[in-house]
Amino acid sequence: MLQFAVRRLVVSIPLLIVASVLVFTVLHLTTDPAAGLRVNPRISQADVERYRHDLGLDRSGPAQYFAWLGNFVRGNWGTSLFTSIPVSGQIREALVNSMFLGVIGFAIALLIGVSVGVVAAVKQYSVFDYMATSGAFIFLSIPVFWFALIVQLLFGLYMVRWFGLSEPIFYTAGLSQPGSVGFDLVDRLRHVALPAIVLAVQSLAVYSRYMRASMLEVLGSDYLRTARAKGVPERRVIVKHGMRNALIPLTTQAAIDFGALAGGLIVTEAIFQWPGMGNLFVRAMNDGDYAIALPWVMLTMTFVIVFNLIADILYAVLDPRIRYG
Amino acid sequence: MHRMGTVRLAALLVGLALVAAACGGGNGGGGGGGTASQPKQGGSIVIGAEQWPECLSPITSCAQASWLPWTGWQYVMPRLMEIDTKGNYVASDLLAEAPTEDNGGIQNNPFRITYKLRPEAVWDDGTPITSEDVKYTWDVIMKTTGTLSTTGYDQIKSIDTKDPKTAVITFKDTYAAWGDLFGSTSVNGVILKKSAFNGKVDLKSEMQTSYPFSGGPWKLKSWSNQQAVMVRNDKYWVKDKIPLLDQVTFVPRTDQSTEMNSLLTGEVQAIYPQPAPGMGKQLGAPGIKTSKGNGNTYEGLWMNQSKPPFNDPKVREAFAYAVDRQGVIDAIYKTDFPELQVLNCAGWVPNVSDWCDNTAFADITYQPDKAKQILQGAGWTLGSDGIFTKGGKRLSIQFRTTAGNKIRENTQQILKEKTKAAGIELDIKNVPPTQLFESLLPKRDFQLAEFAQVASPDPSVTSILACDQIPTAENSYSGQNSFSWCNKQATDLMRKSDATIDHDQRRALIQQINKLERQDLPWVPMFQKPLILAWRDDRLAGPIGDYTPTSYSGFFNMYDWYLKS
Repeated sequence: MLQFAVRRLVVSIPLLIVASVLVFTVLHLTTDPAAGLRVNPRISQADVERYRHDLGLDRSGPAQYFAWLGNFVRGNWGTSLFTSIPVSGQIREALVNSMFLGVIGFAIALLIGVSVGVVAAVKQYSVFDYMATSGAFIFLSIPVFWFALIVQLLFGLYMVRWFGLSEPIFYTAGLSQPGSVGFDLVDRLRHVALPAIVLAVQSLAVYSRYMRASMLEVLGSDYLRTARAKGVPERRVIVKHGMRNALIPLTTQAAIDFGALAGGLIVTEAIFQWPGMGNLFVRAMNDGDYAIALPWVMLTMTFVIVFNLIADILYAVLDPRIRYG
Repeated sequence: MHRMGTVRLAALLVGLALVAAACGGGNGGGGGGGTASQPKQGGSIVIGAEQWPECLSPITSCAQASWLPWTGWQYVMPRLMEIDTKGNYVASDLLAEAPTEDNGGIQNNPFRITYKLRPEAVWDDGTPITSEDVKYTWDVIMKTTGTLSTTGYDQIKSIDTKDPKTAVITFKDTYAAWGDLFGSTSVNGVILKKSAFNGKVDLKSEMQTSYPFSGGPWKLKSWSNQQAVMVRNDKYWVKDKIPLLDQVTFVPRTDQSTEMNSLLTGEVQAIYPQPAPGMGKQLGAPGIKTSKGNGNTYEGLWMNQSKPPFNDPKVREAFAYAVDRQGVIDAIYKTDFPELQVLNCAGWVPNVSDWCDNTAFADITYQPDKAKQILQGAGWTLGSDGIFTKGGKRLSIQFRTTAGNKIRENTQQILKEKTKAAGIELDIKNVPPTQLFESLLPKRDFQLAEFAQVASPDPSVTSILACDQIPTAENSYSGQNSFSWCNKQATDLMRKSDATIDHDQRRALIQQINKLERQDLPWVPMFQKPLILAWRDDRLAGPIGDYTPTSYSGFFNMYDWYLKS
């Protein structure tokens, strides 16, 4: 197993390099960090050229890339092209914010998705099952940006009016109350609630469908029939014997999804003004700031690769019939 | 069971805490009133910023962000000259008076500007703001690694600081745009406090996330990628500009829909959004008030005279009459901005000083028949497809703008229909902004392009319209005259204007340049971009909106804003 894991990680190194080259090439060809200067009538062409020289942008593309790569592998992530703020600090902060939002949204999605899937399977073709199925398809069809704006208005405006509140229960944007300092758990939860709901809605729809299908397959299996014949209570049959086995395919899917959270959620973070990895990447791409974009790619791809590996390992752990040589 | 009970209890407590917090009242914004109220001190507000700067330095690349002064240094740092609501340079609060020839502030041979600083002007720690700070700022601008612009500052020969309250700036040559230095609204428009940096002149890494001093009405208490918190500077020497509010917090609202929702829900009390179709309806909600104006950015259609067909002046003239400028305004902006008018100056706008009387291009109206007559007179023949041809070539013009800009794309569609009625075909081929500004314009590889320029209080257009500013391989494609307009008389007038200090004389020269532009038609001015400030009228009061159309943004005078009781 260890050999398998190490081999997978080593094989992924060229993948990381190819991805970083692609991102750098796209940035190099489509963006210009000095673009804002050229439309300013008070900034001369000489100023622009000097500025590009100071940032090293007048070097060839490969020279810029290899200079960055050399520093990166030595652990020097450098500073943003636009600021003297260290890239590592910016990425760390964004990653923490994205994971905070992602873990809460993910937990909501898993909790509700699994519960709905199990009940829908146990009560197949019931009113609940039909409602769960319809709801899942609706949630899957709703565009994220539209749903996000609707929940903003619902919680931020209409519920305040309907219930005569002085301010919304859940805030519509940002990480914390403007003007506040320090960490306040209740305030943070009031800010994370809406983006987490938006994040959870589509995932829970997927997980509920997964769980329902998996559970239906398990419910018809021989070992459950045996358990019932032995007099095991129905609740125990479903939860301990049925759900546990039905969770295997969902676990691997969830592990892969969790790995992708490191990349942030571009639409959700943009609408809710959440300073996470998605926002950071969009900003870096718009600015042509490869000093941020390239470490971002390396980190998020590493997360994806590692969690894909974890998914494979979990599958083997949960299902002993699977072995990796 | 016991564990389950604990979880339920915890969930209940969290829920109750959230509801209690919602019912308990906020810590900003004040209560809704809507009635007229007297100015009062105290309280805090939150303002939504549509763009968020990545760092704070007014000297380095951070200053590229147009929202940096609007959320940062313009409230905190002093300046020499500043721009009034009519777009004229006037003395800032730091100066006892604006330098003029009459008061001896402007001298020639050598060209010298004398600034007299107010004796009572102090930093927030009570130490005086002196001429040494002015000289230090010049040093920093010239010597900081990655300094954004040295334009104009490189024309300074020396700064005399013998008198702490008098800064005498001697230039290498006459420099008409002197008011722009240490007072520009985009870059370097500040005076820095020398003692805050221990005299260090390379400030590459300083002022990234904080300002260690204040010489303005506000102090920057804290800054992050989530908020900029401004608090009152009680040491500000102009007593009636000491803010009424205790605190103003800027927060990013970079998604415009969220920005609107935040204003509607009251989470922010003011915004300054980019105009967009349909915005007026949203901002018509109860409790919200708006102030509108025309900005200093103007949109234009730029013709490349180095290539057919615009190398033919008759085609340029016909095209100008085929452009329905008023039609574009009516279709796109009229509903939300009924005051918006066609711009009839080529390089200046009516509300930035008095360089533009808005008449030079007034005769350019949509006249497709006249356009046809001009083309026919120039030997063009109307083809069976309704498009003119000459020498076997159709009058089909490649029309480029920045891809993804919806308003420009809508403009293109309207113009395409309108010019077709004059026998001119527009072939829309849009490209990313980088490609347009970095490749096509410098290489003059375009026929017709739509983009914006910015009018500044200094009226010089030399950098974009002089003959020697045409980008070529010989000058490494430097220069911004991508349109290849070269009128020797106009260029001479531009040079003369750049060396003329007298306002009226300069205005006369500018008018002559404007007439030559109308005569040669290197481009067609369209309109000024409208600006809008929106705020919660049920919570905020004061002279809100006075600065909406200025380059300082509508928030500039928030020292006079207060909460309604």
